This record gives sequence, C-alpha cells and structure tokens, in this order.
Amino acid sequence: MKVMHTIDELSKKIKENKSLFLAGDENLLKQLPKGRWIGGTIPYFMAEHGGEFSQDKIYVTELPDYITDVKIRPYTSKTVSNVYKDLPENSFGLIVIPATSNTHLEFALKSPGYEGFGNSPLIGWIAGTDLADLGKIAPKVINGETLDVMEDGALVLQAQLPESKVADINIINIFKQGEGDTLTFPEDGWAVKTVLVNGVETNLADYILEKGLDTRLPLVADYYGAMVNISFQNVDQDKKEVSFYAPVFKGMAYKHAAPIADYIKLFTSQLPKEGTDNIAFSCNCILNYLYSELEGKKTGAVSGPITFGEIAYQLLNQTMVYLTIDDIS
Amino acid sequence: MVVPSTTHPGWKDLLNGKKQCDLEFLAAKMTMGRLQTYIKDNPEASAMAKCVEEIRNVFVNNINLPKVQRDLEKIFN
Repeated sequence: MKVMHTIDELSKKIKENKSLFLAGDENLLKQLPKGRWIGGTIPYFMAEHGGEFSQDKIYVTELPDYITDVKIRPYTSKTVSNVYKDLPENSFGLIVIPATSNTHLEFALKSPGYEGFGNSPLIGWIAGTDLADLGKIAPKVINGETLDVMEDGALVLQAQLPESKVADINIINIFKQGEGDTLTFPEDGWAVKTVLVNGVETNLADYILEKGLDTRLPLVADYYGAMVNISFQNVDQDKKEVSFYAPVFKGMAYKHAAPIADYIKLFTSQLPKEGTDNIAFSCNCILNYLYSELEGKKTGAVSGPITFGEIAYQLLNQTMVYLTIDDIS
Repeated sequence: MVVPSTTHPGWKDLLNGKKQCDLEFLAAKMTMGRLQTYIKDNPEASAMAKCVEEIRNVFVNNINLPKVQRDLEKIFN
C-alpha cells in the first residue's frame, strides 16, 4: 500500500475530508491546507520499500471509512493528564508530542498514573527532527484543523469505532533482559547518578564504565511479561550522570538487554502470525533505525514513521508499536 | 462475559503474586507491572483496594477484546 505522499496527493485527500495522521518534514507539513489531520515532524520512515529518509514526501496514516466520528484534541503539559479519560468508550486515540517539550517530559514521567490508563487504546509517537538539526530546530506538531504549529503540547486524534469493531495495541520488542545484574533506582527520573546494583548503591556512570556496557542496548524492565525498554541517551563521566530517552521508575527492576545478532530476522520472526492486514498504524524507533542500519531495509510489510519515542499507552524506547482493528466476533 | 467484582479474592491473588498468569493484554501487563511495584512499597489494605479497582477497570473497559476474555479465564479459573 502506498504510504508516502507528495503535498499535492495529500492535499487532495485533505480536501476529500479524510481523517489523517501525518508524519513529515516541517516545511512540508506547513504547506498543507486545513482539514481533519494532525501531524508531527520527522524525516525518517519505514516506507513501502524499506527504511527511508525523505524531506519531500509525507507519511500518511488514513483512518478507515468505517470510523464513525473523529475529534482532534489539543493538550498542554498541564492538561495532558486527561488524555486517557477523554477517550470515549470503544474509541482509540492517536497521539503525537514534540520531543524534549515540557509535555513530553510530563507525559513520559507521569502518564502511567493518569486516570483511565489502559481503558482505551492510546498509541502514537514523539516527533523529532533530522538528526543533523538536533538542538538547532525544535520538533513540532501541527493541528490541521487550525494549522497551529506547536513546539510544546500534544495532539490527539480521537477515533470512534462502530460497535462491530474493536482496537488493540501490541508491541514488538526484540530486546530481552540479559543475565546480568538487577538495577533499581531510588527515584523516578530522566537523568540519574545513583543506582542500586543488586541492592548495593553505586554510581551508574562508574558501573557502565567498569562493566563496559554497550549503551546501544537498552535497560529492560519486565512489566508482568511485557518488556519495556529505557534507552541510554548519554553517559557523562565528568558529571557522573547518565541520561535516558525515557524515564526510569523508582522500584522497577531493570536489566541490561541481552545482545542481538540480526534485527531484521528477529523482528520479522515476531510479526503477528495471523498477518498484518489489520494493522491501522505503526511506528518504530530512530535508535532501531540507526543501530540496526534499517535504511533501505524492509521490516516485513509493516511501515510507519521512525520516531524519537513510541507511545503504546505509555512512552517506550527501541520498540515497534502497532494498532490493530478487528471485527468483534 | 461478566468481570468479577472488586471483592473477588482473585484480584488480590493476582496483584500480590499468589497467582501467576501469562497475560496477553498489553495494557493489563503494563498496569500489573506498575501496581505490583506500588504494592511492594505500600502493603496497606487501602493501597491494595485501590489497585484492585484500577486493574479491574482495565479489564472492564476492554472486555470486547478476545484476549481480555482469555486473560480473565486464566485469572479466575
């Protein structure tokens, strides 16, 4: 299926009143007409023919025609706590948040405790930039109804399903906990100095250096069988501080991931055996794209934006997330 | 399918780890992972009651999913 579209092709869809969840370069998104769409900035994609960097096409997720109602809801860092409870019964939400914004930080740290967590599917991604522009150009999200461009906040496209359909979220995480030490943290946080290694207080930067940990491999927490990654962003040996792309949580037991040999092989082996035709949206992580050198390579029939963070209810790292819609049997 | 009430002891057994289940539903697994950590630090009865209500709500609100129905079978049978 064609997923990458030019501005002209996409403008036509917008004028046809299609409901769209978009990912693309900022300069392209800003040229689109008003309509029922939200979008976030990113120039990396898992496209029809494989991993792709593009600044002249936009990745399009078009909601199926059987969706009975669509609402676009903007949030701020102060109101994003309502994001789950605002989702109507038998609906799902598609969310996009700009990376490093206050709303990103707030959502990542606190969303698991927000009212209504898990009551309806909420899936989406963290908007980013060309890696060459990191720190120079802020990631953004754009509300197609108003053409508001936001560097902070969140946009949610709420989609109401007919009674005959049900949506579900799944993840593909090829990382597993390794056999090494158990790491716990005394506080929630994005940047830490202190870690408890098998219960013994240690400096995490020193521990990483001493053990020679490969920081391309994430820390992995076992959430009752769901493996949740926390990716390393930076190890500052001068400040003795380690920062992450998602927060670690107090009391949760983490282990450094076991090494992987072949991302594509492992990934495709975990694709749903019943097929991928029912996948309505998916996205994958920029770190998987970089570390596993996915440019030009295909991950099965699954496509989507390559992101600065994935949201499957809560913020995840180095994980592919996807939404399925099926008939209620 | 009826989701057992908050007074059913199966919820408490699930949360305190007395009963181990291989759940399929992602939101239930994520919620369980967080609540079990919370309960370890907050062993009082009121914390357990709050957690039972929270995990039950996840099942109630997603009861149309076949995997949720299978998870309930595993927890209560």
